[in-house]
Amino acid sequence: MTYYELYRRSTLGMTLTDALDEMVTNFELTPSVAMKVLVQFDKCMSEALNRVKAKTTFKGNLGTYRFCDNVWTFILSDVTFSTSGAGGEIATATLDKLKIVACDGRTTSDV
Amino acid sequence: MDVASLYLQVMNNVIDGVRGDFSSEQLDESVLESLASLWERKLLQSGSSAPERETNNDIAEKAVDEPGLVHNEKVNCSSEEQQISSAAVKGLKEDSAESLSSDSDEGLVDLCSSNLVLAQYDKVTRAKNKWKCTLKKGVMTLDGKDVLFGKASGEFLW
Amino acid sequence: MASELAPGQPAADANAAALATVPAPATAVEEAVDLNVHPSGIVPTLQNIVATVNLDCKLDLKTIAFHARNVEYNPKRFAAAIMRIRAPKTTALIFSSGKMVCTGAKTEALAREAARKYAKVISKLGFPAQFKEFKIQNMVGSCDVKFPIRLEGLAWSHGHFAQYEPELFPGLIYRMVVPKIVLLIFVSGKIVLTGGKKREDIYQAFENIYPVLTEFRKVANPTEENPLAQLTAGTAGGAAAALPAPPNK
Repeated sequence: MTYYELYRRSTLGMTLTDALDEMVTNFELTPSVAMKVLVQFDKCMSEALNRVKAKTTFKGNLGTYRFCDNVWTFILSDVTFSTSGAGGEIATATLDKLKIVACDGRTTSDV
Repeated sequence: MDVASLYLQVMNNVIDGVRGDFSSEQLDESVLESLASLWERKLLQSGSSAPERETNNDIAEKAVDEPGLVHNEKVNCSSEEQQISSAAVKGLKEDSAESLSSDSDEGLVDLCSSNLVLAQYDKVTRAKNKWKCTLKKGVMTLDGKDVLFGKASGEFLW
Repeated sequence: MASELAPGQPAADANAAALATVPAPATAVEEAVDLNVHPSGIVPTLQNIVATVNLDCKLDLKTIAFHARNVEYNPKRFAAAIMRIRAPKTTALIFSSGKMVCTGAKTEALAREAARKYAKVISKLGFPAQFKEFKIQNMVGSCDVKFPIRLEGLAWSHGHFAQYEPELFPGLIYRMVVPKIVLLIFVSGKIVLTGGKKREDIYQAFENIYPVLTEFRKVANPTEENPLAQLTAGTAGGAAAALPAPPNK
């Protein structure tokens, strides 16, 4: 079973990547072990996100879109979004710019 | 569940999950522990999941600006980002070809935006210039703070 | 004559339903129509132009999809990359052979301008794109004669050209031979003309059909054709007739 590497670009993934980089640079880890950690991260992150219940809605202007290799990329401006948590709390915000990168959630084996 | 506690779970699961790999590589448990603490420290420094903490935008932005930091691109998602970056560099050098196809209404600002959503799509549809999408399993970094969603829907005007 | 031929007048339009039998008032025509070219006084509006051009070089569509903006490329479903630009508002289908189809432009000049823009985007990405064999492949126009039409009658008398199967499609399909244009004629008086390579064909086809349309103009029967008249007739009996009692279950 393979998982998307998409979430390595999240804060959690980037900080892990940084930490691994540092340790590989200091010869504390080999690159191959570091890779195994990232693969494990892909799995754990995906599984953890399955437990997230919050719902979000976005509205905004779509400046640029791209669909290639089954990945959608949207560059949005003047975005308003609201998120409702499991406890019913609602957070809203507006953003000048927002980028969305989304992999295909239908064909993936990772559930 | 808040972001911080979910992140903590992920960290614990990753560390537990690779313990076997570490020992089969004859790596001491202390190495695993130092990875865990280094990761945790970097996450705290990012300020993205700790509402009380002062935000360190540098790291959040770095996460977006330097996708090249990600190693070994097996899945297209990451390599796509690199492609965009190289397009951006190209654009800087030679009177961006891209702007031709976009009415020049957006520049390289796109790539410096620190607001990023990583997710999986269920459906993306378009009617005239109205786009609708449904997403799931999202991780968002918005103004330096991380927010998660299980499902999301978007309506965009192109 | 002129009073009948005022096209696109809002005043006439707003009351068209109520005044179906009354000729449009002879107010000034907004834009002078050359009655030599358009004896009907109605000029079909071009809605879409499809043009092709040969960029005369092999294209790597994935490179285009990655580097240009507003592109969709899903080779599993469709062999072309789909690119859009906002001005002129158009869509291009770009094939790896270097052939390109541009759709959505409202005039010939805009179709050419759009095709040139796409070609420029592609050449900026490093492909030696030429601009050869630009050709308008299809034009679609539409207009509204502002009176209802008896499609059955028209279909009967023009059986050789007309096809009308309301259970399949609500419009009458009229395949004109000269010029070679397909017309979709709706009971409302709305007309769509397609298949033209030049706008003159669209115009000529409409002028050819216009006398036929007037011939089969539906003469409004106030109680059947005119809902307003029906309502304003307003007797209790009329209302009861308009709203029959629901059948028992």
